[in-house]
Amino acid sequence: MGKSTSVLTSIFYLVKSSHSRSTIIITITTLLICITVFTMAGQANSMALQAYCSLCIFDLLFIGTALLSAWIMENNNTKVRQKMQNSNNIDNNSINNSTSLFIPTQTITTFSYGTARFEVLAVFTSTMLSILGAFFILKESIEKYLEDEIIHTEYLMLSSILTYIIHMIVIYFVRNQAFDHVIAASSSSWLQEHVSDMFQSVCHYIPGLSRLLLPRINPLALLCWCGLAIVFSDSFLLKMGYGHFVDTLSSLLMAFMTFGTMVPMAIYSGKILLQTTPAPMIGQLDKCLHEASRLDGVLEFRHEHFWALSFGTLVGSLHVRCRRDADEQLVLAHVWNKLANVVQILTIHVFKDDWLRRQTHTFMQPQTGNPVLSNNPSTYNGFVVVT
Amino acid sequence: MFDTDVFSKTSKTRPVSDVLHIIILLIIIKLLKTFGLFITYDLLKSYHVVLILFLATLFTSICLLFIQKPFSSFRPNKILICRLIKYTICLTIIRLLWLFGLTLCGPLRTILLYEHSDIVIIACFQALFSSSSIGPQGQTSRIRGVVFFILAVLAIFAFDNDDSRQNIDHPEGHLHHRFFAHIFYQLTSLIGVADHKGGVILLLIALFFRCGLNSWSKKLVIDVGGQKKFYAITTCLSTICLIPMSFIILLFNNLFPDSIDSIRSTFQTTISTTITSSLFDNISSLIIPIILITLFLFILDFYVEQLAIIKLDRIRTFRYGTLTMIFSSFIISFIWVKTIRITSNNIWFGRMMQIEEHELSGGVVFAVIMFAFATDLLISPIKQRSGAFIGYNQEGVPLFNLTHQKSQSLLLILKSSLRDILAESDSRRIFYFLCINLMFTFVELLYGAWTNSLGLLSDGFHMLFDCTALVVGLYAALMSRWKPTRVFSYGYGRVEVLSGFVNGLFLVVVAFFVFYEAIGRLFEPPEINTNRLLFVSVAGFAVNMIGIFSFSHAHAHAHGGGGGGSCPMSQPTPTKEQHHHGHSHDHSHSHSHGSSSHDHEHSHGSNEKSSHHGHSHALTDNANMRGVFLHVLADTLGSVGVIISSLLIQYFGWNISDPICSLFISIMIFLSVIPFLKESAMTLLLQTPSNIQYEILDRILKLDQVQSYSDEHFWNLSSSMTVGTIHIQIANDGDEQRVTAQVQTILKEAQIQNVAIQVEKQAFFNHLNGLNSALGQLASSQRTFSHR
Repeated sequence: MGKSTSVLTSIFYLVKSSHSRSTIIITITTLLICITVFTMAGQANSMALQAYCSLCIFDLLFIGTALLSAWIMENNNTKVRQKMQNSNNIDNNSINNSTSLFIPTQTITTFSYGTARFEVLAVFTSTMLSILGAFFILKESIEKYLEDEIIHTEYLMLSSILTYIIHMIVIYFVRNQAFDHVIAASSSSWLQEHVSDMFQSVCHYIPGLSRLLLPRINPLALLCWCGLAIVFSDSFLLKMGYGHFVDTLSSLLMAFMTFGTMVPMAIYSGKILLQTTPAPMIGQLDKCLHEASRLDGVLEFRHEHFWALSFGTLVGSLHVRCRRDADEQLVLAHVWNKLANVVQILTIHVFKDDWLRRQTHTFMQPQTGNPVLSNNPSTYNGFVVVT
Repeated sequence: MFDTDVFSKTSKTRPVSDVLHIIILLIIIKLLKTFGLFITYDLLKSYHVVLILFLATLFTSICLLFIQKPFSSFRPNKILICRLIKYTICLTIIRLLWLFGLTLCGPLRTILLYEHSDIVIIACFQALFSSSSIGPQGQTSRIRGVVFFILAVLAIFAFDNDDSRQNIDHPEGHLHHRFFAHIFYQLTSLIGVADHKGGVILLLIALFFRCGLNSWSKKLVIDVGGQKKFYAITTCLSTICLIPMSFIILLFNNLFPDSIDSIRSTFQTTISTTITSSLFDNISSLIIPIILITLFLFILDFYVEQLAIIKLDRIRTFRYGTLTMIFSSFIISFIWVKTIRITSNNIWFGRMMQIEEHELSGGVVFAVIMFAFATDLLISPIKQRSGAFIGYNQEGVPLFNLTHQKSQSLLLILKSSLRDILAESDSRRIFYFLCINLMFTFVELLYGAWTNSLGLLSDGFHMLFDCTALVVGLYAALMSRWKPTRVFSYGYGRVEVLSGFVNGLFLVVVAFFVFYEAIGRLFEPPEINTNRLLFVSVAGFAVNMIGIFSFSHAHAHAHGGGGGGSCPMSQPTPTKEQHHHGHSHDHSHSHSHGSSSHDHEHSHGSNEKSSHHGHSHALTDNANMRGVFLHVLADTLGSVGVIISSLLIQYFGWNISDPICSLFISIMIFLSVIPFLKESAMTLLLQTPSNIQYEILDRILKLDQVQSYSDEHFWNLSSSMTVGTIHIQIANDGDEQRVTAQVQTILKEAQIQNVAIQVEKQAFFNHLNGLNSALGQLASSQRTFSHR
């Protein structure tokens, strides 16, 4: 409960702060337009329009993601500030009593990696919801085709233009770091690919347009443009009296375009959620690991886990088997030094084979009778483990 | 006579200026061919297809016999002749289909559909069915071409309303070829398409058949000795083939004088008395066009095309040829329609023309444009790249992937995946339930199609839609057993959590749309026919109950098994039972109590909490299975709602009960999915599991020589595995390996399997300072030492 209230307060904070006021206004207008447009789509009884208007719902999700990433940024900033203050305090305290350091703050936070991963989940959720929505619309349009109802074309133009305007405003005027990153980093959708291919051949004939046409197009804007074209042609054809088959066809087309646009983004964010190594990082990581494995004292690497925490943050853990006579801290420092530039949050587990034999040989271990600790975990080193 | 090889690639890149005359010749010939087709169409209105084809091939073969003299140096053996005859029969059938399609669709549509080169069609099939072999850049343009092609065909098929022909109720009465036509019309009326659409289908069949025949006969052409000779021989054989058919047709025409001949003759006798001799007119109106057709369609076209293939290359020939034909036919048909409208009054069978005319429509114009694009895209050669570029190897040498993707046979893949599915209980259960569900769906769809009931059909589609959730669950259950790879270093266990999450989102979408529809219906409740609804919903309910029992059993089992070891909570099964019971109880009263949904929420919340307190490990036993279970539960709720609302409508006539029921159902689905969604989201967000207590870290701190810890991260990888990493700072005289082992033991006891422990001393930071390394992320652990 406490968490949700804190979320609420941060939302209130967002409302109050001046820099996000425009976002709030946009949110409210989007909500209103969403409701009106959906009532219109329900009245018009046209699946193509409904498919196009589901962009509005995606806009709401988009704004939600934007707010979330803004909140995360704010959170991080405050955390850094707190940390700074803490360290200052500690500096002050340490002069007074250094023993306080040895009681570490007992904060096992619920999200030990911070809230950066929220963004990824938000992007995944919003893309996945629109994919599933498109899927639902696919099914609905087939059902509608069977039902064979009359379509009122008078609403088509108005609501599609409304959707278009609000979508464009949301995409270009709401700052959304998470989606910006995903759009830039994910592979391009089939729609983008085809459009860029077409533009390339256009530029083949008219080279002057290359500055305008050749750069990568925002897939969401592209989806909006194509959807608008489809709805317009749909309404035109409906007015010409081609029957509702046109409507079904164009809603199918819309659904497929939504699929095509959203699937690469969903795959990109879903892969991050699955804790995988991002493909562009593999080469760099391999190079670093290769260098690190040549270091003095390092025998081999095991259990290499490198995965993306959020957009652009890499987390890694690694087991290093080193030579029995090597200085562990030195090995640790060197391997760390190699990898820390690539991996932001790194844990290196250094281990040696048969270290107990040497231990028993040198120290003779008077307290514990049983040197094989793993077999009897309940007592060792005078420390009783309560089970 | 020079022997031509179709596959000669000697003149691949010849500049346009050198071969301009050839191109012009080609274009002119193609124009003439278009013209010839229009003449043929007019001729076909008054004469039978077989007769026209026979006469045309007869003249062609006479001409070719003189020009080519094919039998002068032809040494046939038995096998060759047999193959030739087979080929000829096929060719004749294709030509008949083509001409018949022409009578049905008119010349413009025939040209649009039939006059594509084999390259285009083969490229279409390649792009559709073998995706891996071609590079990505060429592939996109090919796919676009295919899409354009399909769109164009679709435009002609569906959006081209030949309204002028629709209003004749019995069109075959006006046509000449009575017998075939009658059979054909019966066929098309059986399928339920208009006759011009039937013509489109015929032409497409003829086109594909021609392509197949041409690629099949490549070897035959070489065996006979050249394209031209082959053409001459097959034309002669085809003429022989057509002789008996045309005799039969003539016989039929004499036997049944009610055909168009008689109508025309009455026209001649009554109306066109100005024409002096009907016989002479008949001959002149038949023979001269046929000679023209022979020249344009069968002789000139063939020779010029052969010439162009040699001088230009194949691709350019076909591109110019097809494009010319498409556009010229478009223009000519435009003019043709105009002129016929003007002259329709004074031509002696003008009345018939007016009825039969195929006018231009928006669909055809669209198709013309689309076909032009498709031809251009599909015929352009792909930039051949042997092998795909992968990257650089360690020496900096570029690597290429020369091997094509290994393709297993479909049967083997199915077999192995089936074995995988049946290997484990979870996936087996999902699979069996999916089979039951699919069977039910297909029975429903078939029955719906048979009885022509829309309700059944749409319910069947709904079931099919629901099956996708099961498919997702099944795939995830399969995938979670894959071995870890370089990219998926922790294995695929998380896929289950993700698929559970996706299933939850799926339910949210379903709930949202049901809610939306229900709101819409609340204001204007539609009349609902409850005839078969009750039966279907009861059947669906039964099927879903099977699923619920099997999956809830799986739950109980997993709970009991997964607990293990020190798990004190041994009564998860009753809670599950209660949970389920709560649902059904809630539901049966949902229409009377307004506050029952609240109740439900409460019970859920408490449930959640109690399980969390006890042992959260067992709760998240398998997110995937839980997601599937929830989905089945939601379906069951849906069918229960349908049963209740249909009963209410049937006995009380409350039409409004349907939207109210669906409102409740949607709210309930939403509420039941929320906790699950939250839970799987927390797993995905790497929440520290609640069973990691401070006590563990305390125990670590109390170890010998341990000063502090930092960067402690623990998270559930999947339902059964917990991963942890921690940094531990120890005194300078401590032994790293000992501390590592002790910490490892402590963490193992807390059921954290995958552990990485970084033991740091002051020396480590000194080394790092010496190495000038970045210490940013170590700030918290360094603090321990910096303030000593």
